Amino acid sequence: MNRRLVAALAAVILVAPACGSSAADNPATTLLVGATAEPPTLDPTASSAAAIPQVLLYNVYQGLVKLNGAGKIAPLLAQSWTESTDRKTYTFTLHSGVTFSNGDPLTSADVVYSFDRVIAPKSAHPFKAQMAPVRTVTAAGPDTVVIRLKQPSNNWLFSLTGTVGMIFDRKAIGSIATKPVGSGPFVFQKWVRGDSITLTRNDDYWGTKAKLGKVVFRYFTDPNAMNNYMLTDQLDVISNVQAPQTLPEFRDKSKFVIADGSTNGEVVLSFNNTRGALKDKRVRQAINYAIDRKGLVKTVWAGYGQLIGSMVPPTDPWYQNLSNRYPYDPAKAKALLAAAGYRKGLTLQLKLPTLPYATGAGQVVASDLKQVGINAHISQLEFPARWLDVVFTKGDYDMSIVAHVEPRDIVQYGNPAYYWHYKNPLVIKWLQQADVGTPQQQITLMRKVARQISDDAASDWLFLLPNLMVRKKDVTGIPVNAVSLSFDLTAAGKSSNGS
Amino acid sequence: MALNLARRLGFLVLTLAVASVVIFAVCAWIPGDPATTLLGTQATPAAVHQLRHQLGTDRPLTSQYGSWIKSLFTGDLGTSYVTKLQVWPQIQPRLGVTFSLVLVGMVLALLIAVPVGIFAAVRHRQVSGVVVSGLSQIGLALPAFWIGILLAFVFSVKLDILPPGGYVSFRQDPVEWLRHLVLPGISLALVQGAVLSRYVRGAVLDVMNEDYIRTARAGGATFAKALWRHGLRNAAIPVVTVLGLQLATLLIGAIVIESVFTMPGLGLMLLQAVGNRDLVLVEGTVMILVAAVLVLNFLVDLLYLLIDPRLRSSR
Repeated sequence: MNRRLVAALAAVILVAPACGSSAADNPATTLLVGATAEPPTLDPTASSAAAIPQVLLYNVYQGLVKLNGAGKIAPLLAQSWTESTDRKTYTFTLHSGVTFSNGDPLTSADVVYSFDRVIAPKSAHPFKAQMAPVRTVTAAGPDTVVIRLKQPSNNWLFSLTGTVGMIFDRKAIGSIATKPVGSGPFVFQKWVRGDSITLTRNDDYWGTKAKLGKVVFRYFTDPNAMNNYMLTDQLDVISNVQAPQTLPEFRDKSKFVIADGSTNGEVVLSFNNTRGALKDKRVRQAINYAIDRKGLVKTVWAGYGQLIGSMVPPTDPWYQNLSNRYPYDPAKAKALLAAAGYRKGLTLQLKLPTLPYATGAGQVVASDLKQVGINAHISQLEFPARWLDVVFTKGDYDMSIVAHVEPRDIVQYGNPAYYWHYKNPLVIKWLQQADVGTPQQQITLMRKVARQISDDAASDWLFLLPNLMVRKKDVTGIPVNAVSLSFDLTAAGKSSNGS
Repeated sequence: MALNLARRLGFLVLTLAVASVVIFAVCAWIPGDPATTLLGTQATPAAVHQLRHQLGTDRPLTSQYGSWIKSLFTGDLGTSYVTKLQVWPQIQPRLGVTFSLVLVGMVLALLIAVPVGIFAAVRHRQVSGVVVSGLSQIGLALPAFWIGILLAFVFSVKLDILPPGGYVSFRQDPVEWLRHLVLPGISLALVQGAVLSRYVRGAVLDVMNEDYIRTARAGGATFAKALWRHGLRNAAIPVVTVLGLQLATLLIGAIVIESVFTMPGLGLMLLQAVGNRDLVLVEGTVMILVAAVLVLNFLVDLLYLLIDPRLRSSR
């Protein structure tokens, strides 16, 4: 073979500059974001995948209201709203002159259309239940929307800050799965499946325009690959670190910043409250005493992640520190088990979804439980499909571990049909009262709910998933806490004086 | 010859028909419901029921298979449950990625296997031959993804001379195309090459003991010359067979490698489609892959006829 030819070819391959498509972009206003799960579709009304609102909520699609950085409901498309005295009629006044990115005006008719699409009898919207309190949605003039409720509902207004509240262009709904058209500060540009989603600045945006000219979400199935991209300057942000053990790779403080905020993702060791030994509160409490959660977080998530003790993240207004309700106490656990009649121990299934935190936490839970005489029999279920089928839908399990990432999903403890089958009439009543009550009443009642489910040991709340982000030093304006499911880039930018 | 060809062609069509039944049956058997998977943990049972009806997954399996086959005949692979897009336009942009990866992997595997195999065979009684043979055993045992992670770390992160992942199409930039395929290609090829080199060694060893080599040697040819002129063509037949069989393994290896190097290929798509229970997309993709492997094996059969004149006459 011609050696010179081989050598020349090798030289070309190795030395050729890594130019690619980035030549035309301005790196000073382009943000490259690494993310783990690619959206299965771009239609947020057809799939519950959290990867969809991560890209599209607030950035491309907007609702009447949004959740601000402090976790409070703030106006967005609605400049203001009023409640009737019985709190059953809401009148929203829209900003005038708002247009969708295709130039279509956004009017009250689009709001009516979008909400009617959710509540229609034939709708299969994944979050349809959140709109259940709505009786009618009507337009009273181009800028005014009147929504009548069956009963007052704080949860409903809150849910409008999420996916269910997104306002769509009636005329562009046909391409919702592939070409989203929204009213937000960014315009959907393209989706290269298996690779990336690109957004560009909406230069005709009705509000404060975005600082970034272009945002690329790159998707990785392998956390190592994502780290390699970050280390070779091909990413500006890792949106959520899935292997915290690898964080030391980014210890160079002159280049990287590691941000550790909170999310809504409670990692729940769930109990099937209607099965066998788990019907007994003492057994559930014993499990809560038996698990060394501090040690668990250290082993599983490199010590990142807060202990919460109930289903409330610190960003919710009714947060209280319940993490010491069940301190690590194997002796007490054994005593409780003995009192419940399981002096000789017992065997429970632990059905784990194939997710990094769940498989890791499952090992620790099983070994801690062994210390007090509970034999946890581990089996793995592919996530989401198999887990949803076996554990969630059929309820065929004793214990499982999964992170519940939706905001304020504590309300599911008032739903005895939900897969953990927890039923306490007091909790159901308080949750209902909290939903219809004033904001102050809501806070008081929700605190009672959080304490009660903890007292009942309805689940064991292992820890709160942290919002672990690695970013380059020059990246600014990305919220530290993930209060909603959006990766909110409204205020994000790059500082020119960063290194 | 023509009859032989027709028989093989008929067999190909029959295999494809059986494959369609198997593929559909396996997809129907995979536990987990598409509608439940799509709607997640906040969905009401009524909404799930409604979606099942919209997707048509509440129909009997025979009726679902019937409409799938019917649309296959019209060249329509169906519409994805999840993306609501036609299946073919989703597969088509990814074929190039996986094809390039498998091609580069196979070429590199051959470049490794043929010299290594011949060397190990010719020197099978010497230390160097045994060492090479042993090294190929180790290569066999290494998982491709591990090699991939290692290569990416050394050549991208530490040395910064090759990209850590991604894909650029040949048409867009041939140099970048090759640069992006070097590391994933080597990851695939090391394992495949190790497997293949064992077969090359065996085939060459067999050939070396054949009478015609001895005859050629007796006629004055050096051993190398005899092997080159008479041996390799004969040794190629079993190797080509294994190469055809390895195609399926290469495709499976590609799934893993695409994930390690985040290449938007068919393997990654298939993995995601199975995860999302996008069964229409899974069925369509697997059908295309199976068809590709069968057709390529058919072509390998034809290749035999070119290599070995004895097979040209039909019995």
